[in-house]
Amino acid sequence: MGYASLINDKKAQVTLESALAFIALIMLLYGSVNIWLWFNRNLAERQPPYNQTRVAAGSSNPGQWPVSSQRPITESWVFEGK
Amino acid sequence: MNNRAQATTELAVFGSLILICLAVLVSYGQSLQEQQILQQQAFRKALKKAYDENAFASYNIIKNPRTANLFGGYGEGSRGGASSGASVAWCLGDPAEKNYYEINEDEIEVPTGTKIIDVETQASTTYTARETKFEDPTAATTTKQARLTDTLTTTLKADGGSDITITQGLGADGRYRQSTVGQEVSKDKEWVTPH
Repeated sequence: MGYASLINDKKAQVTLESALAFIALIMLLYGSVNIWLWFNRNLAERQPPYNQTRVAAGSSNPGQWPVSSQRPITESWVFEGK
Repeated sequence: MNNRAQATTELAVFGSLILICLAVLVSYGQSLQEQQILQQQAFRKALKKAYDENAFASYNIIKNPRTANLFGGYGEGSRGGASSGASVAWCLGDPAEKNYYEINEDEIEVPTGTKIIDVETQASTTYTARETKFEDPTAATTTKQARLTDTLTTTLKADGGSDITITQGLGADGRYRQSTVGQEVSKDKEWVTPH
């Protein structure tokens, strides 16, 4: 009886630890993917203003560089995706 | 006991692999971003030079951005490398031929008639780190200090002229320029943990 109880306790501990590690892993994965999406979004957002200022860039009034400002990376973007 | 050892080994191996995969994903995204910025910038700068000087202008950018180094010491970081180039003919009549290199924060005009066939970079790095811990009955105070001196020598190998060499040092803003050769970049951190 005592031995079976010890095994069950160990199983419960393993399950509990796995659950905690799994939560941490999912959070890490979610944050990393969101950082990746932030890079991806920057690439897409940088292109239109670059194209729109193309003609002016080869004139006497070439404008400012960079033509667009980079979206800041924030905690809410990494942990909430917005 | 064996089961516990196996679980620990699996965690050590797979946990590290997962962390490495995530780090690779993020650093790949960062290098894609830098590459796009450099491509756009090289074309714009070539276009401006071509317009200003009524020329066929070639503009090459070589950057060594500092990036986070997961396997390095405190504040050590690592030196990356990215480059891009563009050639633009934007002129009226007979164009001049111009060739520029922007190496980190310094711009070089290559003399007419000199053709650059290769770029070589040599680096010299000195990094020291120190950690001290002071404990008294009320709290433990930990101090971390890092000192980094990084010097880059870039040589533009020329065909039909003499090579062009430029030496640059790492500045406090994380960028390399000629004016910061030999400069020591420092990073200090101190935190107190009450008992």
